[in-house]
Parts: sequence; C-alpha cells; structure tokens
Amino acid sequence: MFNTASLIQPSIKKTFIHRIDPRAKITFLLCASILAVSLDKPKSLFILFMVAISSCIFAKLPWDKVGLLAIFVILGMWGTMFSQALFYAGHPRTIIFVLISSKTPILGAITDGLYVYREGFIHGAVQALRFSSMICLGLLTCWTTEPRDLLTGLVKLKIPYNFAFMTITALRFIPTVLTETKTVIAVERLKGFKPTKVGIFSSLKTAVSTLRPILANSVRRASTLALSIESRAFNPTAPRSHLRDLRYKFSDFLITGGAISGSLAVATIKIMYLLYINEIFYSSSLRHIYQLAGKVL
Amino acid sequence: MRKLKIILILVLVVFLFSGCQGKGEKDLKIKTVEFGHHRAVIELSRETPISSVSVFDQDGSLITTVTIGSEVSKQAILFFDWEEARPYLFQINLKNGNMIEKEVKSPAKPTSVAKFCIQAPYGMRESDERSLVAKGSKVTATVFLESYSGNPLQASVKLTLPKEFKLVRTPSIFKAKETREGHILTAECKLVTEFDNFNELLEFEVLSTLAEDIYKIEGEATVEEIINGERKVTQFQKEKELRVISLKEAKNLAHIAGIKVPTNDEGDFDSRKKENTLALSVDGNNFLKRILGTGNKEIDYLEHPLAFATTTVRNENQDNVVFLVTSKVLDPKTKKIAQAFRVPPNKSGGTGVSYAVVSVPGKSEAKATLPIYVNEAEVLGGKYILESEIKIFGTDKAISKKQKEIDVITRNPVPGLITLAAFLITVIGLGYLAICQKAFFKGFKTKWLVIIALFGTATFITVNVPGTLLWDFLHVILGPFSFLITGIFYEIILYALIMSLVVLIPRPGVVTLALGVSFLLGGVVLGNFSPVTLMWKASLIFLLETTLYLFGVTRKNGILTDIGAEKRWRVLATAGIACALADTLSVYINFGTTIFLYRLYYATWYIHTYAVIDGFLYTLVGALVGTRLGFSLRKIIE
Amino acid sequence: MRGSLSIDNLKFTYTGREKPTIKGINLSVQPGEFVLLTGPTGCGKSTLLKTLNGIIPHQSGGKMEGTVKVNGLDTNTAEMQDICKQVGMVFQSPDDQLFSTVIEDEVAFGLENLCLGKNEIDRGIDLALRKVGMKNLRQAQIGTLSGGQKQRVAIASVLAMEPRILALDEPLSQLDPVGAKEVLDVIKRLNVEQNITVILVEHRIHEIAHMASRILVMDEGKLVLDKPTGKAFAKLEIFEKLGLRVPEPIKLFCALGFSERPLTNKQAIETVQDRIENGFLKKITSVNRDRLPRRLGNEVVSAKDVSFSYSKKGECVLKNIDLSIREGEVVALMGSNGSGKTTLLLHLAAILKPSSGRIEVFNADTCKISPYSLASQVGVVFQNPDLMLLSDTVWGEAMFGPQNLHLEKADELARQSLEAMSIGKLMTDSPLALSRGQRLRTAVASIISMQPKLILLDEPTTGQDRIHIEEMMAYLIPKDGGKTVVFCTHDVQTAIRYADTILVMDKGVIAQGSPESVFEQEDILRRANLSAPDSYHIAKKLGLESIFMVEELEDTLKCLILPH
Repeated sequence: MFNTASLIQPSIKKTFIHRIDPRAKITFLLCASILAVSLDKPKSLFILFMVAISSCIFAKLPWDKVGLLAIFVILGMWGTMFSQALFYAGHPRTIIFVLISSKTPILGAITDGLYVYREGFIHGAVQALRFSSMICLGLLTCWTTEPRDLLTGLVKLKIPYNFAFMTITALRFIPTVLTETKTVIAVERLKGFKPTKVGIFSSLKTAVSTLRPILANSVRRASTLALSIESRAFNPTAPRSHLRDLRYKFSDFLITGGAISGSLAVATIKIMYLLYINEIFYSSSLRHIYQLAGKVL
Repeated sequence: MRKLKIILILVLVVFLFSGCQGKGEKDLKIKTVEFGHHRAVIELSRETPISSVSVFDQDGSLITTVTIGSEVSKQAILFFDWEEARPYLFQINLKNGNMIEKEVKSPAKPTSVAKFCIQAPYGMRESDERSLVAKGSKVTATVFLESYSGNPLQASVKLTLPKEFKLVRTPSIFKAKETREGHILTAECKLVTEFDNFNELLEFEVLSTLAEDIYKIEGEATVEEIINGERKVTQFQKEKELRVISLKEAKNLAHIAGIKVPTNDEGDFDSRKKENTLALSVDGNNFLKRILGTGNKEIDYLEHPLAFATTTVRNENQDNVVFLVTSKVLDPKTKKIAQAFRVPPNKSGGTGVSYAVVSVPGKSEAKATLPIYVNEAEVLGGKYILESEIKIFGTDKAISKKQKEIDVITRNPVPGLITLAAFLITVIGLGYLAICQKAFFKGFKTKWLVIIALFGTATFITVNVPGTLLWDFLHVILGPFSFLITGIFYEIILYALIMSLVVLIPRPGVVTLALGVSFLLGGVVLGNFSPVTLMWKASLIFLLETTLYLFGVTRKNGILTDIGAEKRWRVLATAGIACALADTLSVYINFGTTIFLYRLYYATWYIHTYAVIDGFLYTLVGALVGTRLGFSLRKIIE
Repeated sequence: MRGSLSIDNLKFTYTGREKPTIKGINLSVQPGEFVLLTGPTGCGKSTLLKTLNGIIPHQSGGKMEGTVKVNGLDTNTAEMQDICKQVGMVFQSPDDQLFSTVIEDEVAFGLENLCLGKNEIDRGIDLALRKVGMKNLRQAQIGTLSGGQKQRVAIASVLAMEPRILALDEPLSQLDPVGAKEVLDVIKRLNVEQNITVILVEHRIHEIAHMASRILVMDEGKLVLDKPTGKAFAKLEIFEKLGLRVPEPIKLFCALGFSERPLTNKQAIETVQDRIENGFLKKITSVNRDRLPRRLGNEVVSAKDVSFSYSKKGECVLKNIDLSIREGEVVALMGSNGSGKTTLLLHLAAILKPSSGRIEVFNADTCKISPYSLASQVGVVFQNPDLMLLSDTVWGEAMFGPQNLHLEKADELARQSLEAMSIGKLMTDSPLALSRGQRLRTAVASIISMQPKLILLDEPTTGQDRIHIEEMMAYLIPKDGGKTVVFCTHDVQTAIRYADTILVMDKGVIAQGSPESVFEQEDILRRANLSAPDSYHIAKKLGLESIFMVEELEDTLKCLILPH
C-alpha cells in the first residue's frame, strides 16, 4: 500500500519552505510541538493544525506525499478517537455501545466494563489535532530538506557529530538493507515458510530467521565500512572540519525568533494558568493572563 | 541555557511545594469568639489538631492556658472571668507547631436573668418583627428561653398562635388549648444552671384557604429566681407577625440573585481560585498525601466538603422571609444529581443535597453558603451543573431556581510528575552528551559505531517502518488493542536487535547510541522530531542503560565476558529481566507523558495490561531472542 | 621518495589466533609501479594491504613485527592521519565502503578528518572527482550509482587526500564487465598519468595481468612469487596449484608448449600466425566442434509476452518476453546490470508477478500462486548466499525447507544434501562461523534438500572464488544432465561451459540460442556489454569457427602442431 521510497525521499523544490534553514525548521518544529502540547482550546488547536496544513500546501508537496500525509493524519486521528471513545473519563459521557459489560465474568471485573462513549470520539478528534499538527510539520520538515542538511543543522545545534555520522550511515544503507530484507523474506517463502503468519511463535520464528541473515550481513559490512572509514583518517574523538555550512538568512531569524518567542509566551502563560487553576500560585496582577489562557489558549 | 532551564525547573518545583504548604496555613483562622458566663468559646474556620489554647490580657499577661493534646477539633473553650469591653488576645497553638491568634473585644455582660425569643418561622433573625409565609406552607417555629443566672430558675412559657393556623406538631411539654383568641400553648420548666435552656420546636400549617393577611404570634415567659431565699419574678414578652401571601405572589417577590462557586464557608469568593471551577484535592496536605499515596478519599468525602457554593437570595418584599436554600450538582445530560456529588448520607439528613435556612430581611439580599461534597474515588473531571433553588421555608414548591455550569478538574499529579521526571532526564542526558561527548565516545571503536549505525538501519526497516505503517492500520481495526500486534515490532524485534547489539558490544553507551540513531533516523526520515518522542526515548535509554548496567550486562567484566555454555541461561535470564523491567517502567512513563501532554484518557487496567504484555512479556521474549542472536553473531567477529 | 614502499621482515598475528597470518614478508615497491598481488583465499594478501596504510597496527588488535615504510614514513610510529595522506585504500565491495548519501560528502570525508579548510576541501573534491571522471556527478546520490561508479567514488574519496600509493583490495570482484572496465581504466590512468603507485589485490589475473608491471603471489602468509609481469608466467605450476586463473592466451601457449607468454589476444594471434608462417603449425582450416545436445523433457517454464515494471508509471524492466524451458535444460541469462536478468529469475519463482502476459511454471500460472506454493518445486540460490542462512546450525539450515514442507524423510534429505556439498562434518556448526565457500555450500544444501525440480541461480559467480563456483556448478549441473537450471551471469566462460541455451537480455530477450549461435552475434554482444572469451577471438582470427573454450582451442591447435 505504501511506497517506502515515497515515504523516505525528500522532494526538493524551490519554495519558500524548502529554502528555510534546517536549523530554523527544527526550531520551528520544536516550538510547534510546545504549542501543540500547551494549547487546550479546540479552536486554537485547529488553528495550529491549519497552519501545519497550510505550510504543506505552500511547500507544493507532490500528490503521493500529500496522499501519504492524509492517510497518516486520518488514520492517526481515527486511532485516537477510537481509544478515547473507549477510555473517555470526562463528564458527561454517553454510552453508545457496550463492548464488555461490567457484569461479564472476569473481563467485566478487570475492566469494570468497557463501553464506547460518544463524547470520547469528539475528545479524541480534538486531542488528535495536537499530533496531527506535529505529524504534518515533521513530515514537511523531512520532505522539504535533504537529510544531510538536516543532520548538518543538528550538528550545528550541538548534536555530537558522531550521531550525525552514524545516522547518515544508517540512512545510506536503508535501500540496501531493504532489498536484503526482501530477499530474505523471498528465501523464507521459497523454503516453505510463511513469514506473515500471525501468532507469537510464528512471529518469533520469523523475527529470528529474518534478523539473523540481515544482522550477520550488517556485521560483515561494518568491518569493511569501518576499514574504509578509518583509512580516511577518521577518529571518533578527534576534531574535524566541515565542508557543508549553513547560512542563516533574515527570514530564518524571523521564523526562529517568532517561533521561540511565541511558543515560550504561550507555554509560560499556560504554566501560570495551570498553577492558578490547580491553586498552587496566584497573582492578581496576572488576571488578564489567566483570562486569556482560560478563554483563548 | 541548559543551566538556566534546570534552575527554572528547580524554582518551579520548590515553588510548587511551598505553595501547597502556605495555602494550608492561610485557610485556618479563628472564626468567632463567643463570651459566656466565666468562659469564652473559640471557633476555628475548620477542624485541625490543636495542642493548646491560651488567652492574654491587653498587657500581654497570660490569663489562662489549656493544653488539649493534639485533639482534632474546631472548637475550644477557655474558662476565665472576663471583664466587659476589654480586648483579649486568644492564641491557639497547633500540633504542627504553628500558631494562630485573634484579638477580640469582650461584650457587655448580660444584665437580664434570662433571654426569651421566638423564631417564627424558624431561621428568622431575632430582630425581625415580621416575616412572610406562603399559603399552604408548613411553618416551623422555635421557642427559646436561656438562663443567664447562676441560680436555678423556675419558668413558665405561654404561646398564643392564631386560630387560623393548624397545629401539626407540638412538643409534649406543651399543653395545648384552643380558645377564641387562638391556640394557647403553655409549658413549665426549670433552668438549673447558667446557659441551661428551654428550646422547643413546633410546627403549624398555614392553610391554603387562609386569607392573605397579617397574623400575630405572641409569646410570654415568666421566670422566677430565688436569691438568698427571696423570690424574684421577671416577665418577658415577644410578638412576631406573619404575613400570609400566596405562593404566586411570593415568586415575584424573591429570586436567586447569583451563585458564586467556589467560596469559603463564609461565602467569600477567593480570587486566587478560578470561578465556576472545582479543582479536586484542594487541601495542600491532601495534595501531598495523594502523591505519597496515603490520602484516604473515602474519609475525605465523608468528612470534608470540597468547596462551598454561595447562593445570594434577593428578597424584594418589604418583610423578612425565611427561605430554604438547596444546592446540588447535576449531571448535565440526565439532569439528575451527579452520583459523585451526592451529599454523604451522614449529612443533610441523607437527602443527598445540601441545604440551609436563610432569613432575608425585606428589600435586601442574603447569602446561603452550602457545602459541595465530592466522592473523589468516583468523580470524573468534566462539566457539571450546579443548581440552587429557594423555597419559602415550609413550602414544597421552589420559587426560584438557578443553574450554573461548572468545570470539575480532577488533579492527578502523577502524570505531571512523570512528565517532569522524563523532561529532566532528557535535559540532563542531552546536556551530558553535548558537554562530555569526547569522554562518551572515547572507548568506542569506529567499527562499533558502524555496527551500531547499521543496526540502526535494520531497526528502521524491521521496526520503525512496519510499526509506523501497521500502527495506524491496526488502530483502525483493533483500536487501542493494536499493541498486541504492533508489540511484535516495537518490543520483540526491537529488543532482539538491541540485545544482539549489546551482546556484540557489551558496554555502557551502546543503547544510547542505538536508540539515539534510531530517533534521529525516525526524525530525518519520518519527521518524528517531537520533543515528546525524544522524552520517551531518553527515558527508555536512561532506564535501559541503568538496568543493564546494574544487572551486570554492560558492566566491565560483567556477565557477558567469557560466556561458557553453563553461563548462557544466566545471561539470558538476566538480560531478559533487565530489559523487561526497563521497558515496563518506560510504558508507564509513556502513558504518564501522553496523559499529561496530550490530555488523553486511559483506563488503569489498560495501562497495566499494556505494561504487562507489551512492556514485560514481549520485551522479555525479544531480549531472550536478541541475546541468543547476539551469541551467534559474535561468531562472525570471532 | 614519493610513492615508494618498503616492507622489512613483516610478521603479523591476529588477536586470538595462534599462527601468524603474515610470516615474514620483505618487499620493496618503486614509485609508479603497478603491482598485482594475488593468491588463494586466506593467504594473507588483504592483511598485507592493511599494514600499508596503518590500519594494522593502529586500528586493529594483534601483534605486528617488522617495519612497513611508505614514502619513508614508518607506519608503526606515524600518525594515522599522516599515513592516510600517503596510502589510499579501496576495498572489494563498492556498496560496503561508502557511507554517505551524496558523492560530495563521501569525497569530503577524508579531508574533513584532516581538518582542512572549506576551500581546500572544495578544491580537493573537484580534483579527485575529475581524476575518476565523475566531476559532473558531485551532487549525485550514491544510491543511484552503478557498481563501477561507486567503486570510482571510493577511489576518489581516497584520492582526495592525495596519496601517492593506491592499495586496492579486489576492487573488481563484485563488478559486472562494464563496471570492471570503468574501474580498471581509472586505475590505469592514475598509474600512467599521475604516476601513482598501484598495489592491486585481485583473483582475476587474466583481466589485469596485461596492465601490471609486477606480479606478486602469496600463499600461507608468504610471498611465493615476485616477478615482473613478463616473467611471472614462465611456469604456471604455482598458479595452478593455488587455483589461480591465468590469462587464456598464456594458458593456451603453456598447454601447447610454446615459450611465449602473450598477455593479450593480439600478442597471442601474432605469435600463432608467426608460427604458422615459420612452419611450426599447420595452416588452419575450418574446424567444426558441435556439442552434443542434452536430452530434454517436457516444458517446465513457459513465458508468453511477459512485461513488468516496478511501478505503474515506471520504466519496463521486462518487455514482451517469450520463453520456454524444458526439463533438463540449462539456461544462462546474460546481459549488463539492469537488463532484467534477476527480475526474470524472480518471476520464475513467483516472487514477482508479470504486469502483463503470463508465466507458467510447472503448468501453474505464477499470478495465481505464491512463492510458498512453489517451494518444493523451485529452488533459488541468491547472489549473496549469506542472506539465505536463516538457522542457528548447518543442520538446521538443511532441515529448514524439508520441515516447513513436511517432506517425508526430511532427515535423510538434509543429510544427503549436506554430504553432496561436502559439509556433512559441519552439521552442528553455526553457518555464521563458516568460511565464505562453506557458507555458499550450506546455502545450496538448504535448497537441494527440498529436491527442487527447477533450480534458479542469481549470479552465482559474483564475488565467489572460482573453485567454489565450479564445485557448486558441478553438483547442480551434472554432465549427464537431468536437472533444470536457470542462472544469471556476467561470466561468459561459465555460461559457455554449463549452459545449453543462452538468453541475452536488454529489458527484453535480444538473443536466444546455443552459446555458439549467441556469441557469434557481435552486435548483440556489444549491445549487452558482453565480450566473447579470448579463446573465441584468437580462434576466429585464426579462422577457426565455433571455438569458445580454451580447452577446445588447445585441442584444435595441438592437432595442428608440426613436428619440429
């Protein structure tokens, strides 16, 4: 159903979104995540989601990626709605379906009844906006940026180079190992084994017989690769220079500054509000802020 | 920057706990001091363990002190000879070492030998001369006579009620006689000591056929005191008027002007609190108790109201009216009393609602402050309706009703604390890697880094990709139970990979690198850069590194050095348990952060099931498989 | 001196091993030399190579004695960064030595490790890529490159550090003929134009010998031959004893008892013609050597108008293929990389399904069946046998298929297959602990234990020693026939030696028939980047038709030798 290549390959175009510095994108993503977990009002969460969707539109993502994104968002949203319909513990709640009655022997006693609540669906849909926004922005970031640029960005943001080096190595071998995995599965099937059989023991057998050759090959490959790398004067702890450089443009500064100040402001207001409604801290001078948080955020 | 963050968090934590402590102190105060003959009754705003009570005169000299001995009480009595119109300082020492005090000016000493009053209807103020009652209502009235003398008193009480009223209940001490003037009730009594009293309730019905008019109730008391053999007689007379109106007229004359919630027991709204919001676990001590798991929700429910709701009743009539004010919390859907908010059976006569009788003078307002009880073991956070209604005391029909939507916030601090812990672990972990990266990578050979990277590729292909794709699809079909299948990837295969790697390179840091690369790969390829995922991964790394090290798996000269055939089972079991424990804990962390940050609900049994099956069992199996796989992969290197 | 190398009494023992892998080697290489280092598997040539750029002793455990000096720099005491600037090292697998996703990053890596400035790195990349002819591909994704291109990137990535010595460990063994030619051209150019000293480890002596100035042969950790190329093949005993494949003209001349040792076809033809003119050989007349056809049974595979592409809008990998394979027939699928050989093979195993057309294997439409249902009838040996080893022990491997298929007497079948592959004694060993050849045999045993009627081999010759290949083919394709085998290969000699039918592919089948008929179509061979064997070219120049194998030419020419 999914084309893995479509999932993992960026689509490089020349839109404004593509031109944003990877560090600015990562910062924006983190700030958006802070917003996504800070906001509470359905309207504000919806606005955040719309910002994420609009960014995807501006990035002119190809249709296959748009389709993938839609599937991720819709299925993810449905998953949350489903789980919240079962576990909704807010008030009021209306039972629309009984899965396990509380009187059912054993299961009823364990679960105290399992019901589908109407309000849970709505709650799930609203809450799913949080990570739907994050999925959109996350995929947008990696679909509009070359992986090596992202990793260069991360190194500039003080992630140890060795992590970036290992990640790029892992990334480079994805197609190779994917082909190998397909070969191993084909081998299994040609030896009369059904790797897709569901069940704990058959899954175990599949896991072991699939992983063994793949990992063995990886270990062998690692020997060659390590030799090749060491032959080029690599030392994990030695300093090194970098060819690739990233330059912050004025627009990147604006995006970073806006994202950081916006998300920090919202987070601070929400923390203050949280302290207020939980009766931990109150200051009369913050009344307007409480009002803003309670009504808008 | 990171240091600043840590300081901020510490400040927040300190602030959080100091806030809890301070709030408890602020609430407690001396509410009233009532002076009686040779004594003062001190009433506190709420029950508390009291150690001693003292009173000082205006010079600061101690007059008397009573040691109570940690008794939980709301009231304390001090016996001393007080003088009229002088300031006294009352001091209460609490068990926790704190002290509260209040200066009160003493009243004038009563001059009369006794006090006689009639409340008709019951609840009206002594100063009110006339009250309003509705036709068809049953009115309760009290007759009260109290001795202010140290000598025994012989008293007789006479009460005259209009004959139009129908006596419903008369205490047996009264002798009733019906005359042309009306119902005559007489009683004899003896008041032996000071403050001994005669206090009787009687009930009569104002018939619905009664003409709308003003009716009088007259009372008379004769008190006889023997002083040094001499007989001294004192007469008291009281008269109260009842204006009888129709219920329809009453409805136009009074209404609920407003409801404030939450308030304190005196009806004052605390601006520190959010209006129309009830946050559970209000008491600071309870908050701490709950964290420590020592709070008893059942006892709290039975004994302590969660908050108070104050209903303001407006009386547009000229006359005083006694109202019965009830307050209850309703389910917005069924409009019935929300089960968790039923007043406990030991309160309010088992009616399940809170009520109070309030006397409102004409053309004015009065507040009725009623407690809201909540059974925290049962309550669900969410929207409720607080409904107040007023009836003219003695009638059945409400003349005014008002509703207010309230938010009930259930505060479970555990997810928040878990999130805080996960956040701290992440910040400290990232800080360590950024600052001490040279030390961290020092012992790692290039080949190991490459092996870990290539295992990262294998993890991505065999765990992340099928997991990501399957997770969503299975969610559609199996909902939250899809973990039973996705666990095969996220636990069994993941731990098979992790443990085979650890067996190949048994040293601390391997798990950090493997999961770190897997996180970055997920971020770069699948856009999974969320800080929440980072917190999950960081906590899992922390837990796994800790358990694997403590169990000797990654320790230098640990169980993975010189593995003979006889040692294999031990290694398998140890590695399996170490991983299973770490993952089980990480399941709880994941749920904690999800519940806190994503505001999602999960049933406790579901979380436990997830932890047992996915966190423990699947991980155990995966780790066992991985350890065995690691042994066979070692042969390539050897 | 820049580009010089001297090894003095070098010994090296790996950690955990009792015997040394290198047992006292003395060697001196002058700048600009092209040294071909060869020897059987496990003779220590790769280990020797690792001592040249300091991986031994700096990055590897073990005990090293003696000295290795590159450009006067003692590798024992010098820093890795300094040695890397003197000796560049390239490895066997083009896929396994590159870690970056983009060429530029890969080539920059070494320079970054040397802490050079941005401009220097930039210049270094340009220069190195120009040297290997890939300047225009600087920003290309490594994943999209062919094997030969990847190997050239590997060379560029070390050239960027400007070494004077290039040490290459079997850089051609996993390449198709086109890729191998590309890489060899680059190496030769670097040697000739840049005067870079080349030390090349390779089994395929026949393809490289003519380029080398000196040949070294190692066996059991020692140098057993060290001669200039012109004199190295004076006697072939060493090569034959060690199972090394010498150039066909040399083999031919040696067999004919001629003293000349021609390294190329041209030299060989000139020599033979000289001999004819000088009266040493009879004048050649046409000789026809028809091979006896195998007895073939019923049709087991039939493909009709089969086309396939991996995605709806994607390019066709197979185009209008018609094919019929009969029981007992041995078919070789040939063609350059990407010509659709492996894709066709996977169709025969029902792993891939045609986008259009129809394939029937044992009268079953592959579109309607899964590979699982063909498991007992079709056995596939994949190019990398390591990916076929799924079990913990060799015995488990042989039992895996028969057990899944619930075959009767599974034990016996497994035992027979292991015995047939001469690995009966290794039953309890882990396949992962075996040598490369043993792993290949285990993989084949795991297939033949299921007694398939049709065996498919995907490039069995790539990356494998000749001896391993011959052992496997001898079992799978017995001379008396009886087994139906389809295999993909680049190796024309293997195809000629074993196949009844050769299919030359370039998306579709562009030539089909007996080896003789196919290899005579030069335009087809050119299109498929194939080249007929040296013996064919020599024979043809001499006017002999239908001679493809060196043994055939040898037999023919022997008859023509005049007593002198």
